[in-house]
Amino acid sequence: MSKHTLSVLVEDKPSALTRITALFSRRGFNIDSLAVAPAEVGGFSRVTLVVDEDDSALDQVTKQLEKLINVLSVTEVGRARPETVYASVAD
Amino acid sequence: MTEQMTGAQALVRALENVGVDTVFGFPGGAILPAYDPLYDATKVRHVLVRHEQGAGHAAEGYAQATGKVGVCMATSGPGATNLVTPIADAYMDSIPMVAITGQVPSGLIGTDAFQEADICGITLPITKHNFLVTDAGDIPRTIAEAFHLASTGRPGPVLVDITKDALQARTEFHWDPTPQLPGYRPVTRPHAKQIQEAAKLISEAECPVLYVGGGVHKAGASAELLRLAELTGIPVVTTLMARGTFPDSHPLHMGMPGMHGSVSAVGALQQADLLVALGVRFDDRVTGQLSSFAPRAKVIHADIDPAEISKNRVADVPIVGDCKEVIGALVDAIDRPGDYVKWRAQLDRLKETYPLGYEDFADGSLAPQYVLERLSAIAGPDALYVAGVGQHQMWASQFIGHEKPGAFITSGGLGTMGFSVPAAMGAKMGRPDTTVWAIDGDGCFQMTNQELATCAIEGVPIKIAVINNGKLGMIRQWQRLFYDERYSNSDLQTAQRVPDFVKLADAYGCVGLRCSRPEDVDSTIAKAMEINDVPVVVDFVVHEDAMVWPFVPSGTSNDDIKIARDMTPRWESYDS
Repeated sequence: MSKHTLSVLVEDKPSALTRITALFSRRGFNIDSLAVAPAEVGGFSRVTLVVDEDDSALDQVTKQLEKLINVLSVTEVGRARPETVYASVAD
Repeated sequence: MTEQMTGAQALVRALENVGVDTVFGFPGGAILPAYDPLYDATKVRHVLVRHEQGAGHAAEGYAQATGKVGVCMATSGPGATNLVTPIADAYMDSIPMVAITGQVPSGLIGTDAFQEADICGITLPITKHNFLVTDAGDIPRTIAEAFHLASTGRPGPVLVDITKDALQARTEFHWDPTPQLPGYRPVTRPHAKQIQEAAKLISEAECPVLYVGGGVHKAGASAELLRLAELTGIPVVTTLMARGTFPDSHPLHMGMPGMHGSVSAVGALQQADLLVALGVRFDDRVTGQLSSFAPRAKVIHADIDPAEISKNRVADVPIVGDCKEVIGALVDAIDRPGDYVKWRAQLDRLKETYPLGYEDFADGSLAPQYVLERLSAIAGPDALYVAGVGQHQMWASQFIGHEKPGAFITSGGLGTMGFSVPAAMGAKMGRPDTTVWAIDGDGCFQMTNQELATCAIEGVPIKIAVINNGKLGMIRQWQRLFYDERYSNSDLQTAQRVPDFVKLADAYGCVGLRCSRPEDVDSTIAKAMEINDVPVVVDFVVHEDAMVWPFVPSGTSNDDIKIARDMTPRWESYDS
């Protein structure tokens, strides 16, 4: 298991956030943290999720998120490599 | 084109515009405004069911039989919640369906108003998508989008929940069927590089199998599949959802894999060095214990839903695309047949040594498998067979000769008892010129037989073979094998004729027949085949101890398949 940050671009529609969080509970994936903010483009939101899953589960959760009709894109951002983390601690 | 009308009229107009000819439904307070314009509708026929669950399964049966979107309608609250089971069923089996529900007026949402239920919230995990419509002006576009979503990509159920005030409000009807769904872009055309990779793996394989699922039928790709199989000479297995997609009688067909699959089909998967998985999802009922499933096989997995690929079994070559295009591309990419003489001979030996079979009973009582064999022989491959869930479903899969794509309709993924009668009704309404046989158990039949009234009143002459062993047969089978023959709550005592299915048929305006001796089976089926003006219920009273074999007990390896109690086939060495 390792932490991954996913950035999800979603239409700003009623229950769009519920669809995302419900998918996690329905498929048995864990959300470490979640933040929602208006996206750069009007009418869309950007949901930033931190999930703690291995690569195959991450692949599955990404595909399931992409399948949601209101979701436009799912990208993994700032994939934390161990050495990066050590450097931060040393600072 | 704009015209003033109510939201309800806009709904009916939109349904007509997307080509709906049949709606299965049941009225109630919140949906009532929609029933007023339906009263005058000439293009849309509304079929009044006796229970909303019946409407949902009928829409599924209609969709399965025609390939079109099935439509059901119900009111808010209990009407909508009664649709939950068929919606979940359609979701699991990827059936295109649109469910339209009334909702309490928008001002009352959230107040626990009379007959209020958050049906969008309830169906969130069991729909491809759902919509809550509170503005009459949004109704036409939402209906167009719902039908687009239900029928394209991986098909599935879409729910449209419309508030009563939206149905009542006046609006300008504006029809623009172009969907505004920026996040929905299903990929149908496979990537050329993946096709090349797949063709390479196929050319290198010595023991490949075409593992074919419902996606191949849904893509209308049975002709392409036949071409691929005959071009390459690769043996084929067809899952429960794909029975008939490849003809049972074809020498390359090894049967159905899975928990009650044939030894040749299960053996083919277990011993393969390559699975060409087409429109399948590696369901646990096929794989058995996943860690020991097809242990030495590489996997090419083609599916229109990217999330199915590598979900349960990692694919070496993933191909996202519509199976018709994928198989067509594979046919183009492969130029010559493989040399599978040894492999084919090995599987043919399994097929010959371990054919599907059953035992007759010494007391002269009826074996259920015999009933299905005879039904298949008499009704033939052009009839539609619609099975419920349980032992009779597995026997229907095993002992009916499935030769035509789409001729076998059943509840696969969800395993919904009670599916058969309403689904058969919907199938018959979609294909009125086809003989439709519902195959049901006495347990299943008692869950939804109220739709016999709908069939009788609406003139839907389906035929129903009730395989009546007086028990919940599959439950009894498991209790016999795994619970020391402690038959807890699996005895319906239907054998005492409570209810008497012949009288029940009569009470519903149908013809009831009964058959309990092998020598009467043919004449009884022939009699049922002659009645085409009213529904026919045939009570086949069968022996209570008939079992479904083969059997891979839940959670065990496919290698441990039992052909009878404590009997396992003798496998040839994988390397031989």
